[in-house]
Amino acid sequence: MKVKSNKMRNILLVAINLLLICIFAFIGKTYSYLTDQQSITFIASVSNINIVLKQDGRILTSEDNNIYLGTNLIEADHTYTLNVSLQNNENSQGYYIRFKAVAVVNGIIYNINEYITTPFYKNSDGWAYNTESSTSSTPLPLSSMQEKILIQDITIPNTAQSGELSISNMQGKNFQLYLYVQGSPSIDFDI
Amino acid sequence: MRKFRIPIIMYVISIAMLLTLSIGQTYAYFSAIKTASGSVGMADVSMVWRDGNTMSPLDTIFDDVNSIVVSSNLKRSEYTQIQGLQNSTIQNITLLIQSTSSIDVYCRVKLTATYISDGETKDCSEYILLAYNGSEITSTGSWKLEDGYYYYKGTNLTAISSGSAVRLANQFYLSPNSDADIFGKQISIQLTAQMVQASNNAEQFEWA
Repeated sequence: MKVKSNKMRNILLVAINLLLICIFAFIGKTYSYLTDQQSITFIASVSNINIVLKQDGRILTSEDNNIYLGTNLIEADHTYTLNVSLQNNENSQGYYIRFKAVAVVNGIIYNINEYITTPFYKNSDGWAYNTESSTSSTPLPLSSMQEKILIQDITIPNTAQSGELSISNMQGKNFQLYLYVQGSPSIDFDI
Repeated sequence: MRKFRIPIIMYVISIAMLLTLSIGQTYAYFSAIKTASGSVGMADVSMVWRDGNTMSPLDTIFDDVNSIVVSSNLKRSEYTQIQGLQNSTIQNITLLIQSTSSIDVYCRVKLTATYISDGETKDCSEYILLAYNGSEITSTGSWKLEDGYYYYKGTNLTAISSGSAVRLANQFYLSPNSDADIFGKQISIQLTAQMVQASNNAEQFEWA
């Protein structure tokens, strides 16, 4: 009797499955509208920001990007000429430019924008921006192929406020100077 | 007794055969059959990508329409002419989509752009826009960008008749809001055109 009951149940399940298949097949047919799809793919490159740094007209390449101070030992309150400039090397696009000069002493990074002479506007965010003038905060793009001086000279003061670089906390130590420069087609430097 | 059995069986069989023939005749009404046939074809929806300058299908201009190399770099905030580079041939391309369907259709196009940064594939579709002669294609009213799709004639979809072609773009525009991470990178821009029959509200189901 139990065997017969299982048999009946199996037959019922098969019948239900067949019914479901029929329903799905019916739905599939109903919504099978006429469509087509064709794809093409383009491989494109995005141009990089094309700017070059120079010192005394010499291009600072990635192989030789050292900025020379003229001496290995600098003294307090002495002005050292750097004459570092930047050229927008893109022939069809202007760039907004900003830069930051830092010194690293014993692994500590000091912003030294205050110690350099530059025609760029020194902003409170630690960056110096290319603007209408060194006293104006209105951004100005550096037009294509235009060259502009970034840093004329640098002077490390004998005394400085707490937390800033001064002779007293770098005396006798080696340090590195770095110059970070950013160019952007728009005024938002979202980097 | 056995002698009589065979004739009796034969007699019964004969009677049965006669009855069968008789019944058969009874139902053999006068009738005739004539067949009329008609050929019915199913409509189809199909399309082809063309270059609007030469009207040639893209697959006859380029060996591989799955990877057309654009010869000039994209620059942020600039309209860059689509120039395909294949087998040392540089050609300005104006993208057209021609319906080769047998019925009216609606059309939409999906743009998908990706690049690889630090070994990871990133999406930059939102930064790449389609343009024609210095204007984004959405500004002319021919296309409307919605949910990542360019719809031909916007929400009030306009049907494209059989054989007709619609112009899409001849420039890529790199948005000024694009992430600086894509500078100097190679990007892959895929355009996928879709068509659906312009009847029985098919688009509401297929493109829902």
